[in-house]
Formats: sequence, structure tokens, C-alpha cells
Amino acid sequence: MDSRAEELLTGIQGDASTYDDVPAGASCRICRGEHTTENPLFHPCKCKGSIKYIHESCLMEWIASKNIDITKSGTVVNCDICHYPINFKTKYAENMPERIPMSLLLKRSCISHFFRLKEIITIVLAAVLFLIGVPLTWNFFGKLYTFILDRELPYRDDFLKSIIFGFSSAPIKEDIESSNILLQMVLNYRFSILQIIMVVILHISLYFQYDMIVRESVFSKMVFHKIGPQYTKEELIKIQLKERFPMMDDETIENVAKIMKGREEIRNLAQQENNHNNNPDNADNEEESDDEQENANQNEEQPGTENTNAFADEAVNESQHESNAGLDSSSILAEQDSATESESESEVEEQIEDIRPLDAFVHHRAQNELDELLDQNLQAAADHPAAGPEHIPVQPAAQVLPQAPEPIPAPRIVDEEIVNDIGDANNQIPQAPIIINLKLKLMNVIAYYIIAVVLIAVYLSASYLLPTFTGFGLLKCYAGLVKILLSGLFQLCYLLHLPRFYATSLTKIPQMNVLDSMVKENIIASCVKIYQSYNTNAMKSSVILRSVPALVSYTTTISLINISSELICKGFGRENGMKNRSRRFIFQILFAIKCTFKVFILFFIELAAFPVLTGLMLDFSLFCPILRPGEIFWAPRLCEDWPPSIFFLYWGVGTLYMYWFARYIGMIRKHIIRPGVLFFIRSPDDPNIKILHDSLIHPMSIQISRLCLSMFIYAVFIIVGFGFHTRFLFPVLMKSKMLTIQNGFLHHFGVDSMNPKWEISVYPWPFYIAKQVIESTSSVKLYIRKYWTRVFDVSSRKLRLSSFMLNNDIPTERGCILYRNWFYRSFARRKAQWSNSELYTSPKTASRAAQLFKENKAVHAYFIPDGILMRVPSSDIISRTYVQTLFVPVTKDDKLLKPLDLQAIEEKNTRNAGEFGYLDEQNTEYDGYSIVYTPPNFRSRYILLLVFVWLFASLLVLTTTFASQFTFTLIAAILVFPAYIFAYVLANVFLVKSPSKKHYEVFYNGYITVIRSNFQHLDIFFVCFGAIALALMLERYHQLSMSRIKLEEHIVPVAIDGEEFEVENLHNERVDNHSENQIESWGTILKHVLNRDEIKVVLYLTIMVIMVWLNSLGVIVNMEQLYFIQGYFFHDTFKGYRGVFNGFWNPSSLQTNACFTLLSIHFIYTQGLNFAANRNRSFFPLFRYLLKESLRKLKFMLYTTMPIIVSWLACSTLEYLFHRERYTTFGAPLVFLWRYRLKSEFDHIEWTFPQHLCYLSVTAILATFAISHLVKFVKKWFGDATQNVKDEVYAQGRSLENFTNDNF
Amino acid sequence: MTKTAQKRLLKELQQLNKDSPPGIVAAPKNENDLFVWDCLIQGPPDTPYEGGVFNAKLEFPKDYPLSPPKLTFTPSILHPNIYNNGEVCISILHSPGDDPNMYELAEERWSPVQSVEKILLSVMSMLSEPNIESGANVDACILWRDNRPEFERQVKTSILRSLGF
Repeated sequence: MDSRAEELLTGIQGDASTYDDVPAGASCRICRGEHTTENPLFHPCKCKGSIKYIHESCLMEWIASKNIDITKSGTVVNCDICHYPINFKTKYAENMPERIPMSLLLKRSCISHFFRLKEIITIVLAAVLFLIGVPLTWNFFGKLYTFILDRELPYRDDFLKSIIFGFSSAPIKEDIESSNILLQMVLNYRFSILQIIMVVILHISLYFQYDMIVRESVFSKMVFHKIGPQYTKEELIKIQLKERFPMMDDETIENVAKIMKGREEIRNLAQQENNHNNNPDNADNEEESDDEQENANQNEEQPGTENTNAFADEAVNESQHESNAGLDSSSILAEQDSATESESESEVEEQIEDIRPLDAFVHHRAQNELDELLDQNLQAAADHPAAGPEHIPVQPAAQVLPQAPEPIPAPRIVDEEIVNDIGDANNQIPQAPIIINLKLKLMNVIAYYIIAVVLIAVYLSASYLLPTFTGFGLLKCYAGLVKILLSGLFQLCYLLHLPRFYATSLTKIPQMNVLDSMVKENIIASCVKIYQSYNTNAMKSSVILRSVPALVSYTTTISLINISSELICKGFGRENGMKNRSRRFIFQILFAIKCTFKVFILFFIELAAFPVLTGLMLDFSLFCPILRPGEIFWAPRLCEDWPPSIFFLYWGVGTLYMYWFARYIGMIRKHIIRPGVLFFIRSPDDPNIKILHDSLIHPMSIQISRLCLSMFIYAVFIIVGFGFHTRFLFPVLMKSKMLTIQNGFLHHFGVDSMNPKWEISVYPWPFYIAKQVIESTSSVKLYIRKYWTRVFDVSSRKLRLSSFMLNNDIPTERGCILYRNWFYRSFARRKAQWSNSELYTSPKTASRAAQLFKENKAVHAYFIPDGILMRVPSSDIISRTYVQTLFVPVTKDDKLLKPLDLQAIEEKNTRNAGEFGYLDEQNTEYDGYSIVYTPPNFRSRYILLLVFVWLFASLLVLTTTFASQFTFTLIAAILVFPAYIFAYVLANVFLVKSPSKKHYEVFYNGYITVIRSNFQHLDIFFVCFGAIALALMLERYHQLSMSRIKLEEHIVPVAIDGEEFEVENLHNERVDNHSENQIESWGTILKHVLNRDEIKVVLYLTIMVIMVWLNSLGVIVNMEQLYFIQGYFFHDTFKGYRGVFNGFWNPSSLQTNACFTLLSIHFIYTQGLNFAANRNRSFFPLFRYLLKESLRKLKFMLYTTMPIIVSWLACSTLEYLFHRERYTTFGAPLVFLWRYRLKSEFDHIEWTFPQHLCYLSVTAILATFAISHLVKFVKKWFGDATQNVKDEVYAQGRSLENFTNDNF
Repeated sequence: MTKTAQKRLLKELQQLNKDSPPGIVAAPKNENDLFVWDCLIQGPPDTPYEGGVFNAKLEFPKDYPLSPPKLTFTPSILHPNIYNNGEVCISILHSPGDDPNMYELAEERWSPVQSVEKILLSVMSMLSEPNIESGANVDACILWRDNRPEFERQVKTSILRSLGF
């Protein structure tokens, strides 16, 4: 027996011996059984105590119940309690040889490597094909189709070149190099991937829009409005009956339907009476009851008429029932279900018996039959309770039918997935079907790719080739039409003698000439030029022009859809339902597409175009004048590399701005002004906002005009609000550069801060950090709110709008004071007011005051009341229709001064509402008005108030900005300057031998310039950090004042009571209180700030950068040795090629950079994980932890580089000792050996022994490193491979093994 | 399978008989069937349930230590984590596989290491500290959260009723 097997045996015996260690009374944690020799207990994990032990069989059972296959080698099972992997030992076959035969090992490892390779190839192939291949295929087909459309190649007779280089905007060189091709491919790739992403987003958003619209309840109402119901009510009842009772014959169904109809009419009658009794003046109900009145009339006629007549009536009736049809039919069904046909039934029967004896008899039979069937049904439901739930879902679906009679929604409710699938298919997203159920097999990947290629080809031909082709034709048609129209117009002009008038006007009016030439040169000429170049195919490379034909055919298609949907539904309506099923279906599809495009356009304007425009205006009025004074826009230069990115940039900026603006509005609305003032701005908690609903219902033109109006207001706010300061006040009026950014501080350090890329990547950070810190301090928010409250108070008092704005009715605002003359008005206000002792108590009219001025010389001022009381909305969430009845003057006791012209309002509403206006249901729950005082010229006062708010906002922003900057500059000047000087002196004394006076001067001047420039320009860093400092100071001030208030609160009772013992108590309390307040001191505030995640991230990044730098320094030192070795050993071999080989491992070469990058990535990854694990720690522990970690890393680095450094030092020392005459200082040989020895200029210097030794020892150390690593690696690989083979070939299950501490 | 379960239940019964924790009594309903137990749980002190003694039924599955038993209060009591039919909803009674809401951690759920004693102790702690996040009785949850006095009053009356007052 070989030694390995012996070892195994002894191992087993050893295990067996450990069984004896199981203490008496120990039990299995699963079965609570004891330790026996045939079923021993193990302790395979870290668990201790009563659950330490387990039987192998119990564990296996438990593992099996968790569906884990333990027999597979390598499966790890963790203990449920301690989460430590349970200790298993693989049992091997008896006949396992001691050494695995080499052939087997090789074979096995080859096979496993082959499979690994295959897997890797598959993954790589899939990645290459789908991530790179698909976009390039897209590009290929796009270009191919363009060639087809052009009927020529961009490069004559060179298809390949055309495919690669065709239509590229970059200039083409004559000779094509491989790098050129690669570059062009990358450009093509970028272009196509962008296109694909856009297309996918477009399709997905269109699809979702479509889906949302079809699901929207108002859509089905609109469809209903257009084409009416498919079935009349009677038919509907019949269908329902058939569904429920399949065995009922037609005749019975008909009769039952009649009974139901009759019953329903009676119910209507009753309901109508109820309506009249209960709420006789409710407008809505009145309409309804009007309907019912008619019904009732018909009902009254009905008994007399023939039954056939009743049918005809029903058709009419049905439409009038529409409003409560759903309700009624559902109530019928409910009644059927409960099978409680009692009183009403008998009524019906009586009624029906009146109609006709025979019919009644027939009806009665039907009634009985129905009852029987119902009973059966109920019985069945009772017998099979499981059948009940199946039965119920049918009914809601049936009940929905009358409300939503179109066929699409019904199947959708039943089976959503089918619709989704259809939608997906419609979308033709090329990748979608492939990603789902992706099976990674080599052949599958290729097959999927081919499918993708075909899909792309089909999709592009459908979406690009065909539309463009038809677009050509359509364009020709349209151009012809325009030509005809134009010639007609010209004819008309000639007929009207316009040219003659024109000529005379040119001679008579001098300005006309300028205008004429401008129009001719700029507008007409460019139009003609574009048209001509289009005709002659000269502008092929422009993407915009290329898309014109396709766009034309798309718009034509959409307008065709619009027209055809209108045509199809012509003649149909609510009263006149469309019967034809397929026609209904077509109409619904077309109508849904029409609505989708309408809503899509509106949403696009609101969500994409709006923010982009906002961003553009912000750039014009804020960013550009601050960052680049004198230019118009700043962003275009940033996006030079890739122009479309400007849209994303603007969009992001605009969205952010709108978000902040909305937050500001929300703050004002919530905390400052009276609710109802801002009723015209949507409130987020407004129940009336149903965006989709609204955009579906309201006509396009009104919505567009609304959007334009709000855009205009936004534009005014931005351009005037910001632009006034940045573009006019500061640069033009004040000739100041204060509002421009110049980072003098950074400039001093040689940072190119005028690079737009640098700006965009750096400037947001200080803002972000400042924002986060400031938001974490509660007091800033408080004080800002206080400021705004004050601003609104003051400005509305000045404008006499307190009552309207703040609901703060101040009597003195109810009129103005009339002064004797302008002298009193402007200089002696107070005096004039005091001259009238009953200024406010006895108001006068203007004429009376004028008279009194003449009569009474002592009084110089009278109060003249003016303005009116007005009804205004009392809530922001008010319905639109209600608003129109407001803003009317009323008397004190809420009597209208002149009656409301409700008719006109109604007319205006209907005019604006469009076709579907009546579907608009607004929540009127919050409607209400309050009566406020409004002064004359209300509108202009309101606008003036806006101006006031703007002025105060500018004041706030400008003051805080400048204050922050100056504060931080001062702090920096006081704190940084000495430190700076100190560091500088240190550096000069110890590093540079002769510190000259000039150095100091240069330094000092530079410093002074930086400080001075900070009082002339803005510096973002200074502003942001100053803002942080100010916020912290404010917080501190707030804390102090709060604590003072608390203290005073405690002092007050002492003064009142004056009792001795209480003073004692209070004194103690005061001390406590004081100490309590002290907790929120600078340290706490600072801690608050430091414990924010952002700050921690910054700390992490800093430490990471330092660590990366240090680590890569270590690596580079190690790598540099390679360079020495190479230089030393191949010194002679490559003498002639020194120039080339010198750079093989140059410390500043590409390789080093790559090394640095790789290291950084590795570090960022590991440290990112680390951070995620440690982010919950507070700042200081985290800092300590990080420091420890970094020191650990540093130590490791030193260990690895130490031998080399030591060898260098030793060798250079030797060299210095042996050849002292050659070197001036002790360090010189080191520098010489490191830097100059291997350069060809120094070849003439003789080589000494220590020099040889130096390079040799370095080589030896590195070789030892390399070899030891290699050996370790090979050993590990071999061990793994052997283990694998053993596991695969000889393993025979696994058994438990006890846990010991040395199992790590 | 059944045999393991029976053996283990017997062991647990012995263990409980030897030293049962205060406030808990549990034993099989009849001697021939070890798989249905009757338990009496005392309402923990300083809770609305103080002074009450609640009867509960423990039903063990045939593969007992692998799957958790089912605990039902008979009659049901008002508690956020007890369904109207008296079934108790706590994490220790859920097998690791079925947690639709992903509220509970894997180690909080059933594993063979748990026992009848632990279950009953958990129920007692559940009585004193309801878990609102994964409530079984929504009304009780709302009542417990928003109107504690009313909740306590209802519990007290039901306890008194159960004791025959």
C-alpha cells in the first residue's frame, strides 16, 4: 500500500478517534438523536453549544430538502446559523494511485481547458457580434440603402471604400491606411449606436404611450363618442344571457331580454322620481333626469304600442340610457346573481300583464325558465365552490362591455400578454427577441446574429428605404403643387398691378430699398439655393436634408391616418353605433395611432423641447456671460467633438433649473402666500391633473398655445431675470467684471481653467458639496424662508396687495392718501399724515378731499378709499371651469356687483374644449372662493410685485455670492498665507542651496495678485467654500440664539415667582440646559458636515489617489529595474539601436501609463467595494480605518521593494568606498548608476566591480522574485489540476468532517 | 420520514417536560398522535395581553424538522401578526423558500435547529412586540399604530371574555 493511501487511512482512523470526543448528552441539532457508532455526530461548522452536533444523514436530508446537490464536487453549503461553509471531505476510490498518471492529467486538463476556451470564445463572439457587429451591420445596411437611393456610389467603382468611408464628414486622404479604416469604423460605430439607441427609445416610448392611451378610460369614451356602441342594449343582454346560459333557446332569451328591459324602464322611472325628490337643483342630475323624462314619456307610450314598436323605441332609448347603462346592466346582473327577484319582479309582471295577455303568458314562462336556470347555476356554484371563482371573472368582463364596447379592451383585460406580444412585434426592436431566452451555444450565437441582420435589413428598408423612396415622389408632387400655387399667386399679383405699386414704393420710400434687398438676398436667395442644390443632388452629405423625403412621407402617413380615421367614423356617433366589427377595429387602431402621436408630440414638447430651450436660455443669460464674457454661447465649444451632446447637456441643465424653480414655487406656495394665488401653476398634489387624460381630450391647438405661453413666461424670467445682471447691469452699466469667473488661485498653479471640458468636470463639484452641506444645516433654510416671508410682506404692503397675496387684510391698504401737494407727498409725508388726526377713521372721496384742502389749511392729507372686493380662488387645486366664475367684483356681503354672464363662460368653454370637451371631468371637491380686497390697477400691481420679487432675489443671490467669496478670501488670506510662507521657506532652505530674494518676491507678488483678483472676479471654489463657511456660521449663530431664547424662557418665571428655592432649582437647570446647548457646538456642527456621504467619498477619493500614486510608484521602481537589466545585458548587442531600445521601459512611457491606469482601476474597484462595506461608519473611525489600511498597503509595498533598494544602496556605498576619488558626495554614485551609467554618452567611463555587482544583484533579486512566483503558480496550477482529476475520476461522494480551527 | 419526526417530537416533549420555560405549556392533544399539540401561552407581563391565557394548536408536518409547524390560536386573538382565523404569522414559522415579500432574513426563518420551545418563546415575544411591517391583520396593525388605547381596550375585553367574565 502506498503512503498516500496510508495517510488517508490514518486520517479516517483519526476521524474515528474524534468520535469519542463527543460528550455524553450531545444531540443532533436536527433529530435530537444521540451519538451512536453507526450514526456518529459531527460538528462540521463553527456552531457551538447545544446545536454544535449533527448527524450526517440528518444534514443530508436537510440539504436535499433545500434542493442542493451535494454530490457534485465543489458545491459549497453554508451553515444556516453561522454561515460558515460546512466542512466536507471528498472520499476517493480505493484504487486511486498515489500519483495521478501524467497522461490522464494532461488529457483531463486539456479537455477542461478546451471547454473553458469554447465557453470564452462563445462569450467573446457573442459580445463582438452583438455589441460591435450589430451596429456596424446597421451602418452597412443604412449606407447600402443610401447607395440604392442615390443610384451611385460616393467613390466610383469602389464598393468597399464607399461602404467604409461613404458620407463621412471627415476629409478623406488619398491613401487609405489601416489606422484610418479603424478610425472611420469607430466613427461609423458611434453614429450607428446612437441611431440604434434613439430608435429603440423612440419605439419603446411610442409603444408605452400607445399602451397607456389604450388603457386610459377616457380613450374608450372618445372612441364611443366617435363610433357609438356596437350592440344595442337588447342585443347586449341577449349575448350576456347566451354566455351565462348556453342551453337556453333563442326564443326564451328574447323574452327574458324583454322582461329585463321592462324592469329596467320601471327602475328608471323610480329613479327619476327619486332624483326629483332628492336633489331637484343639481345640474348634473337634472340632465340625467331630463333624459329619463324622455324615457318615461316613452315608457308611458309603450304600454299602448305594439311590442315591435318597443324594439324600435329601445334603440333610441338605449342611447339615452348611455350615462347609466353600465350601472343598470350591472345591477341587473347583480340581481340575477343574488336571485332575489321579489317586489320589482312582481311589479314588472303586473306591468307586463297589462301589455298583452298572451305575451305576458310567454314572458311568464320565460321568467320561470330563467329562475330554474339561475337556481341550477347557484346549485352548481354551491356544489363546486372551486367553480365559483372561475365563474365570476366572466361577469366583470361582460359588465365592462356596455361602457367599453370596442373589441380591443375586452381581450386585453383577459389576456394582456397577447397585446404586449403584438406590440413588441409592431415595434420591431431588432435585438429584443434575441436577448430573451439567450442560450450561449456557438451555433446559436451565429444564428441569432443572422436573425438580427435580417431584422435590421427588413427594419431599415421599412423605415428608411421605402419612406425615402415614396418621399421622393411625394416631394415632387408637393413641389409641383407649390409651383402651381406660386404661379397662380404671381398671376394674381400681376392682375392686381402689385409690381407697379411695388416699384413706385421703392422709389418713394427710402427704407423700402434696404428691406427689399435684405429680403431678396437673405431669404429668397437661400431658399432658392437650397432648392437648387437639392434638385442637383449637391447636398447629399447633410443628414438633415437626407431625412427630408423620409420625414415627408412619415408626416404624410400620419396625416393620412388622421384623415382616414375621421373619414371612417363619419356619420357615426353616440346615437348611431357602428355595427361592422372589422371597421370598428380599423377605426380604433387608426384612432389610437392618431392619439398616440398627438400625445407624443405634446409630451415631447413638454419633457424634451422645453428643458432644452430652458438650458439654451440659461447658457445665454447665465453661464456664458459668467464663464466667457463677450461670447454668446458657452456650451457649443464644449460639445465640439460631438455636437448632439449639446442637447443632452442643455436638457440636463434645463431640467435641473426647472426642478429648482418648482421647488422655490412650492416653498412660496406652502409657507408664504395665501393658497389660491398661484392657482394657475400646477400644484403637485392637484387631483385635477390627469396629464394623459387632458392631453387626449383638449384640442391640439389650445394645448400648443398654452405650452407656448408658459415657455414665453419662462423665457422672460430667465433672460430678464439673469440676463439683466450678467449681460447688462454689470458689464455695461457698471463696467465691472465682478460677475465673471477667473480662477486666479488655480491659475497660479498652472491649471488651465479656461478649458470647457475642465470647467464642466470640475465646477459642479464644489457646488454639489456646498449644496449638500448647506442643506444639512437646518438654519439656512429657516433664514431663507424668513427672508422671503419678509420680502413678500414688504412688497405686498407697498403695493397694497397684502389682502390678495397674504390674506392679511390691512385697513390702511384699502385706499391711498391724498396729499395737499407734491411737497407734502415727497418730503413731509409724516407731518402731513399727522396733520389729520382722523386720517383713517374718516375717509373721503377725492373730490371731497380737494374741497377740504381748500377749506382747511391745517390738514394736508386725506385718506381716499378705492379698489374693490373680489372673489378669488381659495385653493390652488381648483377646477378650470370654476376659475372662470371668479375674479368678479362683489360687495362686502358677497353680493355680485353685476350678474355673472354664465352663458358667455359656457360658450367660451365649449369653444375651447373642442370635440371631446364634455368628457373632461374635473374634481370640484376643492372649489371655493374667498373675498379679498384688490386695489385699482390690480394687474400692473401684480406684475410690479413680480419685479419686486425678482429684485429681492437678485439682491439675495448677489449678496450671498459676494459675501461668500470675500469671506473665504479673507479666511484664506489669514490662514493660508502663513502656512504657505512657512512651507515655502522650508522648501527653500532645505532643498535649494541658495534661496534668492527674487524667489520670495515672485512668490509674494503672485500671492497678492491672487488675493486681489478675488476681489475683482468670482472664483467658484472660493464662492462655494465661502458659502459653506457662512452656512456654518449661520448655523452656529442660530444655535446660540436658540439657546439664549431657552435660557430667557427659564428666567422669566423666576422674575414672576421670585421664590428662593425655585431659583436654586432653576439655576441647576440652567446649567444643565447650558451644557445641553453646548453639545451643538462647532465640533458637532463640523461632525454633521463631515459625516455626510459626500465628504466621506471625497476623503476616500483622496486617500485612493494617494494610494494609487504610491503603489504605482512602487511598481514603477520595480519595473524600472527591467530597464536597467535590459540596458546592462544587451548593452553591446543593441549598441546600434540604442535609440529604439532606450525606450523599452522608459518610466514615462506608454507602458507606465498603462500600468498606472490598470492599477488605478484595480484600486478603485477594491476601494469602492471597501467603501460600500464601510460607508456607515462615522467620519473619524472611517478615517482611522482608512489610514490603517493604507499603512498596511504601504508596508507590503516596502517589503517588496526593499531588497532592491537595499541592494542599490549597498552597491553605491561600495562604489563610493572603493572609488572615492571619482565622486564628490556620498549620494553621487547612486545617482550616477541610476541615471547615467547606462547611457551611451558614458560608455567611455570604465566599468568597476561594484557597478557590475549593482546590476547583477538587481537581476538576481528580480530573477528570484520571478522564479519563486512562477514556481508557486505552477505548483498551485498543478495541485488544482490534480485535485480536479481526483475529484472527477476517483471521487466517490463526500462525507462530513469535523471543524477544527486549523481548517482555514 | 415520519419516524424521524416522531422521534424528534418525542425528544422535544421530553425536553419540555423536563424544564419548560415559564408561561408556556405544550403537549400532544392525544397520546396516539404526536403531530398535533395543544399549547397554552400566558400573556406576557406589561402588555395588553397580560393576565390572559391563550390556547393554541400546533400542527406538525410529516417531514417535521425540515418544514415548520403551523401555529393557530383557538380562538383567534386580536394582534397585528395573527390572522383572523388565528393563524400566526412570524418569520420563524416560514420555511426559507417561501417568503413572497422578502421581508425576512434567511436566518430568521425556519430551520431544523428551531424547536417547539423556541417557537412558543417567539410567539410570546411577538405578543409583546408586534411587527407592523409584515402584518397579518391589517385592521389590528392600523389600530395598534394609530390608536393604541383602543387596541389595548379591545384586547382587554376579549381577554376578559375568554376568561368568562
